[in-house]
Amino acid sequence: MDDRSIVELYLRRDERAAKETQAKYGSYCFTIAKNILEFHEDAEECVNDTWVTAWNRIPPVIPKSLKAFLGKLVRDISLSRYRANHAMKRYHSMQMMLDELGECIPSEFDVQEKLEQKELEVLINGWLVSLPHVDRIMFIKRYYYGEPVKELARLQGCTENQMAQRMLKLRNKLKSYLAMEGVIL
Amino acid sequence: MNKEDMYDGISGILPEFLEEAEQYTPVKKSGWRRWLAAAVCICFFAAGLISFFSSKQSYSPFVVTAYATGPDDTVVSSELHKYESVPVSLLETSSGMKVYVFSYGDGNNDQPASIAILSANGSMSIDSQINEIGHMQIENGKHYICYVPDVTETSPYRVSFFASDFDTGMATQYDISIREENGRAFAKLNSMVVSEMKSEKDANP
Repeated sequence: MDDRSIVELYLRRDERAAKETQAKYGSYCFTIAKNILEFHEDAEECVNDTWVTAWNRIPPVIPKSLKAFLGKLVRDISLSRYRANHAMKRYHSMQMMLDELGECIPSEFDVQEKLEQKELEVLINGWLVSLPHVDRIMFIKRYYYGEPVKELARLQGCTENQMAQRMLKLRNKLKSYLAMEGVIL
Repeated sequence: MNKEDMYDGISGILPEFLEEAEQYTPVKKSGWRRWLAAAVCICFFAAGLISFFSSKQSYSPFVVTAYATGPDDTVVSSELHKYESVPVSLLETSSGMKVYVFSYGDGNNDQPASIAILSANGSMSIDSQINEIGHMQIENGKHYICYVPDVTETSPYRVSFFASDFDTGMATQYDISIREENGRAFAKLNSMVVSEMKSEKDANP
């Protein structure tokens, strides 16, 4: 079923909406959740919560891209799960990803005020546009989809260390970009 | 801002970028064998392209069909492909001739079928009297070539005819051989040469 028809099911409050969404995007959302949280049962719960959240949000939200909407939901829910449980469970993947993303934040010397999330999103997208094709893809696979560095290295046919170095360079580039654009974090 | 804010900011990545990342397949590094295989493929592809675009090319818009008597006196058809032998039979027309039958179709079902008699000496004539060949279904839009072997002729017979495509201005010359042995006959497409149709003016400047 195409995305438009699925969204119409939500708008009509047709219970088939969740079933169709799961059929089409179940494994997509599960992959993201599993990459981030590692634990199968946590990932499953996050995905189930994603369907419920989507049902509650559509309407009034009418997503332009259902896939991107669901991807964002499952990432948000995974982050919430991490926050709730990380004292009890060690989510290595999420912790590592967050630590790496922390490196992208310019030094506190540049910090003046908190940036609105929307503004940050615009800046990150602007930075991604400037990247070479493969660099952009590797960044997105790592920090949006949560794919481990080892897996990205295998995909690109390089060593894990080489991929880690590539990611480090990208993070430094993002940090410089954000500082230069006057990102005020 | 903290690292979780960065994480949230990344959640807003444009859908187009996400699709791009999902559909990405890396170019695999290849050893010399892969390069050699790729080079060979490119050579074949280039040769095919040159052959296709040259004035005498072997790609034809038509498929030639051969006809044979099958079980229960039905007529079965087989597509002719280069160097492949297919069964053919002498079929009797409504005018009493015994012919080997081939056809090609231009798919124009508004047009009636045309039936041409091709004799051993290469002469061809359209026979509008024939309305039946064996027990075949004569189909609109198809051109039938009925080859009449000469009594003095011996197998293998050589059948040659042109099929013209007026839409593209190209004509294909088909060269078919018919071999008779042990009471059975087989046809084989030896060659098909496609060339540009020329008007009389072009042919005789």
